[in-house]
Amino acid sequence: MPATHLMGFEQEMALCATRARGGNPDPEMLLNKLSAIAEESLVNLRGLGEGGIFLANGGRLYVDCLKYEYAGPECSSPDEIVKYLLAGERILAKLAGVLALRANLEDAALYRCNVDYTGCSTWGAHESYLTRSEPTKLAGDLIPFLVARVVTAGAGGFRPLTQTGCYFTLSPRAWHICVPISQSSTGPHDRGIFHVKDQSLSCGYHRLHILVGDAICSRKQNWLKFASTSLVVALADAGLHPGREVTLCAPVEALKEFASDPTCKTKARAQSGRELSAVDIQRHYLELARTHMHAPWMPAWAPEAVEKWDAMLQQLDGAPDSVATCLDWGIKYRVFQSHVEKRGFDLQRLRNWTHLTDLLGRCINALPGTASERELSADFVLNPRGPLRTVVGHLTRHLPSRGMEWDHLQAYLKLRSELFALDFKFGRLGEKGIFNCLDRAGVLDHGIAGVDDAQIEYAAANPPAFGRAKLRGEAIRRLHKKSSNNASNWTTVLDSTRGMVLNLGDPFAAEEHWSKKANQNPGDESSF
Amino acid sequence: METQMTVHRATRQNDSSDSSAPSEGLSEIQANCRRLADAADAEIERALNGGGVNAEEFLQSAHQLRGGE
Repeated sequence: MPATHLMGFEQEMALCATRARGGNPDPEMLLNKLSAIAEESLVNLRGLGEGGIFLANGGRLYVDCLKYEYAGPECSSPDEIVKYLLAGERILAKLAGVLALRANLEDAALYRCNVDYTGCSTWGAHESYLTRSEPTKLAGDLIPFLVARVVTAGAGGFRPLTQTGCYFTLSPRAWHICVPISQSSTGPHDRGIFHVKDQSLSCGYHRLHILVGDAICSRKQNWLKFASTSLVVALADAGLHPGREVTLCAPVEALKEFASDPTCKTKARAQSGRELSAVDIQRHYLELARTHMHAPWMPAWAPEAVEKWDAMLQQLDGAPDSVATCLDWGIKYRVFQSHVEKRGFDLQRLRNWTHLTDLLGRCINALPGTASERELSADFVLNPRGPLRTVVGHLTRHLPSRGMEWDHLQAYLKLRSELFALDFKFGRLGEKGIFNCLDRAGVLDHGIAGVDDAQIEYAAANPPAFGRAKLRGEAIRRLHKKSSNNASNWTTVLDSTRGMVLNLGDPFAAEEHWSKKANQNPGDESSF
Repeated sequence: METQMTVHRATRQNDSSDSSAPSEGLSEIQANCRRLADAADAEIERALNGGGVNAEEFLQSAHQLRGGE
């Protein structure tokens, strides 16, 4: 059956490395080396009019703002999405391993980490969905879903952007979202739930670009994230206005409230006056998808997606324990809880210390002097001649009733750093990533029947079976190393030797249509 | 519009005392959680002690190399 729906993804990753003799290598140098290794070891063509390289699997690798990115090829099913996500992970883990050897590093790895707990950076996991409608027209129908999706698509972690706290959240990236609708994807104050960017990269279609999601490891969760979103996009694209009955009064606040509750019971007020949980909102979309799952404008895999989506929403009734082996945030919640207990704390004491250090943090921020002179450390806070002695004296009276004592402050701060580091290392690509270690230990339940190891290996070097990604990947394989002037982007492949271009403006193109290149100067990319 | 928003936390309904959940399913979930926690213990120690740097040093190092949006 020919593909009717296309979707894709971009994953931004942090490259971290350590030298054997200590100290950090220069990040730009590392990224350049990583790019050079990718160019020399992978079947590829250089980017045409854009940086990086395009791969024989139809995807793209590139560097942007000191972060390494993998954009997958256009995929026609959630099975394919999962395969190409995992294929990218394998490619990148291998590249990082070669980098460590060549640059004489003790360790080098890419991390699917979402947020930086010691700063304000965030790494995106963007999604793209092909639509007939202009993205701006879909905003109202998608925003309630994207808000509610946090309970099924969240990576889990801790609230970033707090200097002192340690609050578990279903989605660390949700805290970087400031407005319902945005033009920008990178601004710290205007990153939106819905992004109006409309860079179609095709003829006759639009491309909905979603940037509110987290990068996640669970296959089952990635499958459902793309499948459910694609169905909702299809409903909206068909003009059914699926969001109309569940429009939220304050979506950004609702996103953060939903993200703060591992039981998934928190409710937000809809403009209809109803109080709705994230599961309630998703059920609304699910039932609409069920009603129309056999419509001609729905993908062939819609019935399977409806069934899996329904099962997950039922499973969330018992959250967080019921999703502790299949959703990233559920796995992390259990793993972090176990570590907290191992260090002699429990979740309630962790919350108490978080509240206390938040208060201390506010006091410290109000002090004069540079940031380095007033850090939140046990030595600074408990210095009997320090600037916080009065505050500490006042707080001391309240500690025993909460089972706290100042001697534990240092242990709390150490635990907090450990939890942040564990979250960072959870999504490390390759065999040392915590998620991958747990998976090998056989304690996770996140497999997808349609995705196996051989298929992932195949997807690392070969394009999807349908659409222009197939044509792009096949052309790249043929033209690789034939001429350094050969190049590719999402809509064109250039064969400079023959002076021909392959036009891939139609995302569903099934056959190659080459035409004479208008500008015969092979080095000139401006005409594309 | 946003200021009219009210969000409230509903009462937890999934306590272990929830009699609507089959006890068999619950014990299986608890067993899975236990296995996960046991496996995580070993991996966590390895992850935290790997690379010869402690958690704080790792976070600082990652921050300096960060990139990101």
